[in-house]
Amino acid sequence: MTHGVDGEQAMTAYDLAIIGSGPGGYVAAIRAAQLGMRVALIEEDALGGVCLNWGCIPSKAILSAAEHFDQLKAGKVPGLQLKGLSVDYGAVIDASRKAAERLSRGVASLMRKNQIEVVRGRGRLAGSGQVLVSDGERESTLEARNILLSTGSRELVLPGIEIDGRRVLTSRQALETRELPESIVIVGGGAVGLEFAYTYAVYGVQVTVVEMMDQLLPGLDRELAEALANSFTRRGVKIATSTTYRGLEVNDQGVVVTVEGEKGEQELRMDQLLLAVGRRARVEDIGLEQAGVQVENGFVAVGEDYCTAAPGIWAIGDVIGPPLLAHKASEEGKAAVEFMAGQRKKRVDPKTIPACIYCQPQVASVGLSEDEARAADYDVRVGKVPFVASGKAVGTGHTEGFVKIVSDARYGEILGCQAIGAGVTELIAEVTLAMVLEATVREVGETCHAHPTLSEVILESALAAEGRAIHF
Amino acid sequence: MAISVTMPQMGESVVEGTIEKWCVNEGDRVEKDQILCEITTDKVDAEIPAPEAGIVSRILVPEGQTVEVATELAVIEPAEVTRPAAAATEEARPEGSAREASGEARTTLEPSEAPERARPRASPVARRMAEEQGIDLEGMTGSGVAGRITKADLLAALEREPTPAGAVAQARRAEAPSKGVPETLGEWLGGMHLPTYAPREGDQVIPFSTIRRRVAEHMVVSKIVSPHVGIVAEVDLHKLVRLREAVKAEFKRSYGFNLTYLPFVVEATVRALKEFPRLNASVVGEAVVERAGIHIGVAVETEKGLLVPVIRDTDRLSLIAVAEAIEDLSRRARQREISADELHGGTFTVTNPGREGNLYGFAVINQPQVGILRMGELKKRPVVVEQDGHDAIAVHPVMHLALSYDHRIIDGVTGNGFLYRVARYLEAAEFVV
Repeated sequence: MTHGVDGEQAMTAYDLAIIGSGPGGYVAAIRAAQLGMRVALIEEDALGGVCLNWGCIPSKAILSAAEHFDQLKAGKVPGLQLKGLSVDYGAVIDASRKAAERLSRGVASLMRKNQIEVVRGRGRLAGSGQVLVSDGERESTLEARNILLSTGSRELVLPGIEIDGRRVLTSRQALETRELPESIVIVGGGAVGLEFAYTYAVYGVQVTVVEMMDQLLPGLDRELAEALANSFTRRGVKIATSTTYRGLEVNDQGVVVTVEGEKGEQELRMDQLLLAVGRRARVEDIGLEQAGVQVENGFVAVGEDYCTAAPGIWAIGDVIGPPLLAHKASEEGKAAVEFMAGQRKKRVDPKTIPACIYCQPQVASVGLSEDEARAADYDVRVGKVPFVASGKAVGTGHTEGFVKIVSDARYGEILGCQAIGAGVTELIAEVTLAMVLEATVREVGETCHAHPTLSEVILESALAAEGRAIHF
Repeated sequence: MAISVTMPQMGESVVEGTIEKWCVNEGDRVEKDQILCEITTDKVDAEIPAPEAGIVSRILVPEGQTVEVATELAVIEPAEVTRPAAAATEEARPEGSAREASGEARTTLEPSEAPERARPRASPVARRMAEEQGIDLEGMTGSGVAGRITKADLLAALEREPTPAGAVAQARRAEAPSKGVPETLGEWLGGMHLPTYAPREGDQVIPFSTIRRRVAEHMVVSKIVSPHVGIVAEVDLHKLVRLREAVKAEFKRSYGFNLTYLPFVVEATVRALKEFPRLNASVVGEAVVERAGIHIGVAVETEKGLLVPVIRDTDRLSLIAVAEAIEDLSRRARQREISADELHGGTFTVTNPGREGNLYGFAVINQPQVGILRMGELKKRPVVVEQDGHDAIAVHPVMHLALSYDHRIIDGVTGNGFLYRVARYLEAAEFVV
């Protein structure tokens, strides 16, 4: 039933109107449909939002190609010799676009299956229980008992930087750029910046990462950040932490980026600049103020139940604040709809939202880091086991990295897990489940893990937290 | 089948009522007739009891809300019924859910997640916390999926009642109130734990003899059955000692054994018992039985343990016959020649531990009797005597007599009166030897 709304001033009553079809909005729509609500999903761009079209999904397609290339490079896989290995980066980008389109179509089919009305156009709050939808030509008004804002976020642009899409790019433009630069300065040492840094470095691009804070991946466990920085440095990526962007000059040859670090100011002359300093909520021009929705620190303010200050208007995902993660938005979308239906008591627990970075080595984290746990006065027991202790890792040449399980000595409660290495973004799910179930390191330590798998390192880390690791 | 609790019709003109206070929470287990909530109407205030035992699966009207008579207030699921997961029940009514999806309904609807099994579902962390804190999870309902008990639930319980004991009470409160509170003494005693003995090297283990086992059992039972009251009388035996001194040599020659003070005490006891038959009695069911004859038991310590042979028809015997009976019974008791019959049928007991270092002490009543007299040591003490109309201090032999009586059927005046009479008979020392 995907269609534009025909006719002006068409009024249709829905139980729920959702503005934004990203991983928060479309998942909320399906959950609402499951609960018997009549749902309208309003989207001005492609179904699936940034995640599916300009974030998680296409970037993973690009990273996957880079990983294969990385593996096949001479010496990486013993015994394999490939002559004339090269990359057609344009084709990689094309493949990533195809993956995004395919998934976007998948979302459309999910909407059909769940009888959710997809309304094309830009949604805007228009008074009590009403959403004004305009597609540039026509305007129509939807009437809904509840309205869910899942408008997501857009890239943060530093003042004074003009994005031209050629020399100066955001991640969205980088995902569409079919040529590799010779050199690039990436401003921002977070997930997005590091995933591009890895990709470019694999293909021989000269990469410099500039991070204002004193470590990569600010907010994550320092040990992880240091391990990742070391790995990148070995790969030839220049890492400049405690370094602040000061100015930019674009000329015919490229860009001249002025940065200030501990050793004073410095000019970096590169082909391109990729700006990856974070994201901000899409709160403008959706009628928040008139509707009585409060905005605090740039994000929509919600209560414990994801309801905004305006009754009947709810918000989830990036637009309500960090962590700005697709899966967090999905969980909140389901939760908000369940709150609306009176079927839920508790909001999504931020302690059990994993965070993953998909460069190689991968980085994954959930719950408290060792430092955070100590600051929270836990009697901390850390079980840390390197992948080199795993038979599977040695056999497959993925010995880089480690797993740290942070537990509380008193009850063995698992407080968090930080991991770096191949496949850790998949492995973190086990620890997350254990945390949700309030399993202790003992239960994880008593769980039989298949051999040989990388998951055995999770088992060993749980055992190590109680001082009884077998292989380390 | 779920049971619906509705706003009752409190009177002909009453059309609505207000929920004043909910006494239960969703997920609570309730007994039949347990108070669910308090309501007020313009005519009358009342409490609504649970129509059946079960689990409060839903509370539909919040506190302070006024609703019409017959409005559904809560739903109770009978505890024994197993039913599909709560979520499934919810999803079976999508239409309703959609209609309830308004801001208003949101505040009143809660998930109906009730526990269905006796064994509590709890997370491993919660279990380990409970173990450490000594919290009984039985009957507790958690906030997790399907009532699973989580760490947060335990932390909340501990916060409400910070002490472990309090937390136990908190956990138990979730249970039906009559459960866990013993209704009989036996049930209550059955819940008691004995301090455990940890063996150590060198400990000597001496198994109970049959007599010791009986004595031990008897002492415990007596202390539980009879509320003992102990009282003491000081007895000036100045005259009795003179009487005994005067006859003891002659007595020994005539009867072949020493005349002790015990026969005198037994004789004085018999006289007092005739005046206070309530002390010569038993409790049978809910009746006092005052015994027809007086049969005094005298406690004898033997190597194997304590025996109490009985002097039959003590009240019909002369003092000398009593002395002879005591001599005979105690000798045979020590030599283990006593018959079982001679150990039964006593109606009152006198005991004389008789050694030094025994000012007085309270004996344990020999069931099914209701009193026991225990002799303290005989010792010279300064006493105030009246001489020629003046008070003077004299040195007299004095004994303390302690009476333990069963307060079930003997009150203070009776007990004191009896002991006073025994003491007076002994002090008067009017015995025929």
